[in-house]
Amino acid sequence: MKNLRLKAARAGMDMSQDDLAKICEVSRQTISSIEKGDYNPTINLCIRICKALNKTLDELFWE
Amino acid sequence: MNAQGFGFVTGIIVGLILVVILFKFANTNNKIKTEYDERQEKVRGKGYMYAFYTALIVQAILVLSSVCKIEIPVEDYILHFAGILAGCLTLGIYCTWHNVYWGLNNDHRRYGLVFVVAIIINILAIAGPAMNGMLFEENGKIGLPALNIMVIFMLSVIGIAYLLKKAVDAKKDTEEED
Repeated sequence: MKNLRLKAARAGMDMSQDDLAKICEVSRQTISSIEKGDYNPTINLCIRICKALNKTLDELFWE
Repeated sequence: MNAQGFGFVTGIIVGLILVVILFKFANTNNKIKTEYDERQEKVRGKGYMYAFYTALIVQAILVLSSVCKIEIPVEDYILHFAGILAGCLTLGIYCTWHNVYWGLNNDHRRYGLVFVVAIIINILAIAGPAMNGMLFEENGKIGLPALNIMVIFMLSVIGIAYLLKKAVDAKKDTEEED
């Protein structure tokens, strides 16, 4: 299932996938896979993404 | 160890040292090891599994061909590399097709350069014996140049897979934007 909330939060902060990937120290393809719902990130990566986007885990990853 | 064996081992050691230097050159932080994120590590783990199975299958085919006395016009010591290279090829294609073509500390341009240089070095290694008519050994089998041919084939297929994947991704991105 696509993670549209992550995509919206990233776009809301005017960040590209590449920008977010650099902050979270992952590849751009990994961010793309998470947004497409092709990859379930570990809790550590979820936290890094949330910190980068100033969001909570609930806001971005909880169903 | 005879002179040929000594030369072969020396060649492999020099080759390995060269590979280490090239990796150091191709990574942005001068580390030999490429760094990957958690998704990439996961994909690579599966890639190694398929590479292992491929190497097993190729080795089994080679054993069968030997038992069935099927003549392959390549020296036996070179045939042992077939399994290793087939495994590397499987890993390369699997990782490329699952978006793990660049590590976190790879310099893309330098890696491309290393790739091209590796292909050229291998072509040059075959060109000499081919021009002198020394590609085949006295028993009619291909010796060391067969290894270069296999490496060129492996690098070319991985390169083509990378270009194809990039084209497919570019098309997908355009469709998503639409």
